[in-house]
Order: sequence, then structure tokens, then C-alpha cells
Amino acid sequence: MRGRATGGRFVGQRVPRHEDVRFITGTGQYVDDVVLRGTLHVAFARSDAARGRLTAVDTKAAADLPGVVAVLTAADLNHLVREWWTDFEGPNGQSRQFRLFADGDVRFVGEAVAMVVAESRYIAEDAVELVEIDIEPETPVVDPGHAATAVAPPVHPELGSNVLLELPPVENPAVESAFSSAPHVFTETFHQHRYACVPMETRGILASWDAAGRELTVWVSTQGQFAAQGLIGRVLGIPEAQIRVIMPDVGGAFGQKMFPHPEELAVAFATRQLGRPVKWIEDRRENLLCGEHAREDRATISFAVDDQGAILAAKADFLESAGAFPVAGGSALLLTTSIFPGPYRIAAAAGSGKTVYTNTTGRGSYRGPWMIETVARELMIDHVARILGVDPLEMRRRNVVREADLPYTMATGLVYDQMTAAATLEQAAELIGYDELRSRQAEQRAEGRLVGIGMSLLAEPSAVAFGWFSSDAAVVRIGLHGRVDVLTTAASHGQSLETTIAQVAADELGVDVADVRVIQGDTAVTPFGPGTGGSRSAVVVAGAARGAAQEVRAKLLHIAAHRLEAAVEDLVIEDGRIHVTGTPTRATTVAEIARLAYLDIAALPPDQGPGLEAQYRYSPRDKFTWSNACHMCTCEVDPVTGAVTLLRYVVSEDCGVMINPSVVEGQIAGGVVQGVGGTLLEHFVYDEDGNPLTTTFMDYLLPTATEVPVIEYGHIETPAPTNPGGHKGMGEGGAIASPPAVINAVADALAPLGADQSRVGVAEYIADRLVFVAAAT
Amino acid sequence: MLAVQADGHEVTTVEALASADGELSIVQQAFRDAHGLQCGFCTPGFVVTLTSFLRDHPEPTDDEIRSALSGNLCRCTGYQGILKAARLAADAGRRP
Repeated sequence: MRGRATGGRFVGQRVPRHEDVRFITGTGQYVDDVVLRGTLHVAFARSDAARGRLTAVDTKAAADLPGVVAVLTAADLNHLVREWWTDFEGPNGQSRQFRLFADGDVRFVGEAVAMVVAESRYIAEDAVELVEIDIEPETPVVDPGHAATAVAPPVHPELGSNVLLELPPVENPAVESAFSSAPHVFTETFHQHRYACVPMETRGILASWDAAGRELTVWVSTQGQFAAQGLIGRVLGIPEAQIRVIMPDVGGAFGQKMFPHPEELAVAFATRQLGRPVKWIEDRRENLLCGEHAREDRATISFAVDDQGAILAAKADFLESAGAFPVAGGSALLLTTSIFPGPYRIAAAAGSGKTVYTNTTGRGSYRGPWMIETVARELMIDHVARILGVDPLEMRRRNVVREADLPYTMATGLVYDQMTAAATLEQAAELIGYDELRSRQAEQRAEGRLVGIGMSLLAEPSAVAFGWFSSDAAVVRIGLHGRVDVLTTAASHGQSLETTIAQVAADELGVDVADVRVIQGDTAVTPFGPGTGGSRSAVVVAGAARGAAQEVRAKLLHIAAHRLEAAVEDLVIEDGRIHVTGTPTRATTVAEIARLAYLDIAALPPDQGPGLEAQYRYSPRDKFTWSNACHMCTCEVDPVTGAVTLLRYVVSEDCGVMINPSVVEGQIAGGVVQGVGGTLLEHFVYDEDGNPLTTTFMDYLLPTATEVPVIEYGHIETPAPTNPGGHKGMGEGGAIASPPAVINAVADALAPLGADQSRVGVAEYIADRLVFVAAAT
Repeated sequence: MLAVQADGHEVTTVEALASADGELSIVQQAFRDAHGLQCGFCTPGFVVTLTSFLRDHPEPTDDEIRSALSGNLCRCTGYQGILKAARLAADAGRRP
């Protein structure tokens, strides 16, 4: 089963993207491009206090403004909410706090209090200014460390505590024994600041209720049409069969659009109440303020280490801030505590942690939601290496899982059936010229320059395949004229699935990739599936497309064999032509077989029915398909300003058989720059009263073309045994492994000054250190 | 630039760049060749900014390209493909 797909003409090639043409000519259709006659527009009035009693909401002046159709609040809609669990969580999801609008109190700045529905967005925005909201402020809980204590005020007064999820430390004799006998024990706490997905397209929805047909049609910027359909149906109490969700082009999501939020759900209520189409396009301030946040984590990590730097045992305790109303999947604790040993031979390990509510924006699943485990581990390895006087590359060499160790069972029970972390470590070191860099660094340090080298290793649990994520399906159909459609469960919003899935299907069918069209994103059209998430599509969606294409190929060959009076085994399909091996003149075409299959049924072999299509549902062999990578970078810190310049950035990646190397590199690059941004520039800041200070792009700094290094790539292709294509998902790794690589580089640059690095907010950290640096120079 | 500042001026948008028969402009083709886009949402802005910049600066350095594009944000590509596309387009435009 290993190796490339049959044919292999397109899989592995840098095929130009099918979806590009509409985007570079301005003909993409995002949700705001969808226009229905008579549409009403929405703006939200929001809380400006993090916590307080909501003493009055007066909507009369707003409702009286000409052009305003309705002003809806908790009193109008909250009691209509039937159930709010997502299919991802199941009915247990209702243990997560949820409400449509603030009711009686407010619990974070930005919480929706009222919704104005008007003839235009201008009128709706003006009317929002007229909604009078009286709040008696109360002391909020902002810091997650404080939230976890008994004296903290309750974010949700109806609950007994602020703890959403707790995995207490479990007595582990192997761990305790290693810690009590090891020559060295180290413990550090690493803080990670809050940052966010920030897709270029904000959230948005257009919903239209057809009262006569009792049907709801929704166009929504989402990662999965079925996730939206299920949740909207349950919240509104409408059977799924009466809801059609269409996912138009989506301008990025990164986890933020896995499930509809209160705002999108309120729009669905509004169209049903008012009988007219209703649209809401989020503005940028709203997206930064309350469109899900992520990453606010702490990790206290301990290593027991021998004199040679071998890590004998590890403990990690995590603390996550969930905000007030986390999204489904908002806690990553179960994964974080399971995978923190990473691609290292650590014989004993124990993880624990807490997720706590705070009076802040709810946590979502930003690209690699569990990534604090990689950040903390990789920072800790450099920290320990520095104390022991071991080079960080050498420290990793001594501990990394080697080929000879496979299959390797992590101390937490998960198994690496294959793992090439050691090979990526060496490839990255060679690409960046590690030894030469180190000797040059010694000279540069002698000149007083602050130059650093950082690295990280990553094991990525891709293609998560259980529960809601168990399977994907594809329909492959060859039309009357030989053109191939592939209907997929998941839809692309930057991942290039319109191209990569076409490559896989084209190879299986033996047709030109240009003749394959991928159709996606409509509950009325595509098979059921969870949408994108967990770096799954290259494994699970491609697996489904491959299976469906193989079934259609088998039928094609059967009909062709009958037509050509040849044996199936003797036939070859190439570029849409089917011929007998060695006799190119005994031939037919895919288009001709399609014509027979639909219009000349009498010409078909007796064992073949009409038509030329198949649906195939696929679930990978294992719950995870592990990919892995090594990131290495160099930086220079300006000793006067503290500014960090990244000089080189190398990624060595093993995602198995690559479908399209350009797409793989694009995913790496996007993730790396999100991680670089999150580390050096992006920081969502609350003051101690829970007031957000970074709700514009003047304050929340995204990386631009002037700040990014040129990223260099190395590829290792070890086929995954979990799926016939040998692919491994890799969509999140870039954003997971880049923060620790960058922080380790900065810490290495500052090491001569005696600096440590127990904070991800490197920019802030450098600012703290400026006085010290200035004194040293 | 604010929208009102364009009042009374001719505005070129991405829809005008390909020829009538659908042939892509040099910049559009370069974006496709260099994997310069993923979700596509920011793409019209980059394509038009770069088209205008290369018209006025036909032989830019890499730093000039980065600076010219620094007013546009992209969240998918890490700018890697966009910068490659810009270099491709600049070199293609210079060819006799």
C-alpha cells in the first residue's frame, strides 16, 4: 500500500491551482458578494464592561429611527434557544457556557447585548448608537491564574467555580522515581500571551427564511457547512432537512470559523422572525474584539535529566484561559497533556492541567490549539541545554526518537509508527549550515553583536479521525462528455483542495487534471463530513476521493474491456484514452465510455448498470497520522532598540507523500509567519479591568511583507502507513513550531547578557530587558 | 488613501486587468505561477498594488517590492509566494 498513487502523473507535481483564476480576476464569491433582494442588515450593540450587572437595555430610540425594522435582545431571543451543543462535542457540549445575548449581566467586553436589524448597514450602525445600555460594573477576573483561585469572583455566577475542565496530577511511580533519583531536576513556567486567528475575511452570514416552504437557506463564512447546519438547526429547533447551508468562497479561517457563534445564530433567528433575508458582515474591530481568541496559556514543566543531558522523565502542568464563552473545542487540554513529550525518548511523563473561565473573549481553536506543549517543551530543552553547557542541537540529538526506536510508544501511551524527527533535525542543520553559524556567532559575540540561533522539533497529530472527525466522503462522477466532478465533504478556504483533490482523482482515473472539477461547500450537494480541521484533508478527503475514483475506474475499465473485446488487466488509461497494452490502435476514450454508460445502455456488459459514478466514505487506519518537522532560524537583536530581525528561517518537513509541494510550502509559510507574528508582533492585551487595548490594526500588529524572512524548505517524504496515498497532514505545524524556534533564537542572542526566556511575548520581554541591555553596553 | 479621496478619479480594479479574451496580465499570471495566493481574499489588493507599483518602478529591488506591498495584509501565504510573484512579474515585465 505504500508509495505513490497509481499513475502519479499529477500527485507530487507543482500543479497550478484551479481556484486561482477566479481569485486573481476578482470573480471569487465571498458571503458579502451574495446579494438577495430585500435583504436587511445587522449591527450589534455590545457590552463595554468586562463584568457587571445589566440594569437596563433601552431600545426605543433605536427602534424609532426610520429604516430600523427590529431591535432584538435577550428578552426576545434567548428563551427560543433550544440546544446549543455542536456535533463535534455531542450533547455534553451543553456543559460549556453559552448564551445568545447578555441577560441580566455582562461577562466580557464585546458581548452582544442587542441586535439592530435595518434597511441598510448605515442605519443599523446609527441605531446601535441609540441603544442605551446601563451596566453597574463589577470587578472582573482577567488573569487565568487568579481565576483558578477560590477568591476569584465567578465569571458565571450560576456555576460553583471558574474551572471549566481539570485534569489533576495523577500519581505516577515511574515519573516520581525518575525525579527522585535523577542527577538534575529543572522546573520552569512559561507564559504565552493571547493572540488570534485574524482571517482577512471576518465572520459573515446571509440567512433567508422561506416561510411558505419552511426552509432556511444560509450562506456563511465557515469551515464546514454541516457543522453550521447541525448547530443552527439545534439552536433554532428546525430539523436539519429544512436547512441548506452554502459555504461560498471563504477568506481564511484558521480555526475561527469551525462553528457559528452567537452573532451568526442571532441572524438566523432574525430572518425567521422577520421573514426577510438578513445579512451580517463583521467589521474588523468586532473580529479582533470578540471573534474568538487563543493561545493564553501557562505551562509549568519539569525535566529529570542525567549528566549527559538525556531527559529521563517529564512533568507538565498547563493552565488555559477559556474566556467567558469558549467555542466548541476551546479547551485543548486533553491533547496538550497527551502529546507534550513530543518526538523525544522520554520514558516517563505525566501531564495535568486546568481550563478556566475569565471575563474575556472566548477561546477558539486557532491553528494548532494545543501548541503550548511544543512551545514549553522546546523552550525547556534550550533552557536545560544552556544550564548544562550542551549545544541545543546536540541536546536534541541525544533525546530525539530515532529510526531504530520505531514503533515508539510515548510515555503517555500514543504510538509513533513512523517518525523522522531525527532526519529533519539533521536536514535543517545542514540547510542552515549550523556548525558554521555557531563558529561565526562566537566571532559576532566578540564584536558585541546579539546574534542567536533557535530551533524546535514538532510531532504533529494530523488527520484526527475519531468522533465527529471520523470520516470524509467523496462522490466521483464522470459526466456525459467525459468531464470529471469530485464532490467533497470538506471545502477549501485557502488549503487548495480544488487542486490537490483533483490531482489525486486525475491520477486514479488516468485523465488530465484540467478535466477534473472539485465541487464543495453545500449541504444540498455534497456528502456529509466535518469540514476542515485537525489538518485532515490531505489524508481523509484525499482518501475518500481516491476510493471513489478507484471504483469509477474499475467500471470504466470493465465497460472498455467489453467494448474492445480485451481483458481488463490489459487496458491502460492515459490522458483520457483507454487502449490495449502494446496495441495503441485498439482504443477508446473515457468520454466514449461515459456516453455508453448514460445513453447506450444496451452496449454495456451484462454485469454493469448504467451511469459512471461512485461515492466512497473513508476513515484512516489510525486515529492520528503523525507528521513531523524541524524549524531552525537565526536572528539579530538590536542592542539599543531591542528590535528582533529574523535573518534565516529553515523548515525541514516530513508530511509523507506530497500531493503538491507548492501547496505544502504555502501551508508551512503561512503557519510560520502566523507564529512569527504571534511571537514578535501580535498581542491581544487586556488591562486589569478587562478592557481590551488592541482592537485595531494600529494596536494589534500583523506581520507585513517587510517583516518576514525568506523561508527555506527541506522535504523528507516517508509515506504514512495509515492511508493508501501515504500522505500526512501538516496544516498546523508551521504555526506550532515557529514560536519556540523564534523565542529560542532570541534567547540565544541574549544569552551573553544572562537573559532567560520564560515568556512568549518576546517583544514585551525585550522591552522589559532594555534597561538591562542599555546598562550592559 | 480614503475612498472619498478617489472622488472624481478613474479607479482601476482587479476586474480590469485581464484582457477581454481572458488572458491574464503579467502580474496575475505571476501570482498563479508563484503560488502567490491561498484563500484569495487579499489577492485583488495585492495584484492591483503591484501592477501600479511596477508601472512606476519597472526595475525594483527586493526591498522596494517589500516596502511597496507593506500596506496590504495577507494571512495565508506568509508573503513568500507574493514576494516571489512580484519578482517574477518585475523580471517578466523587463523582458524585451
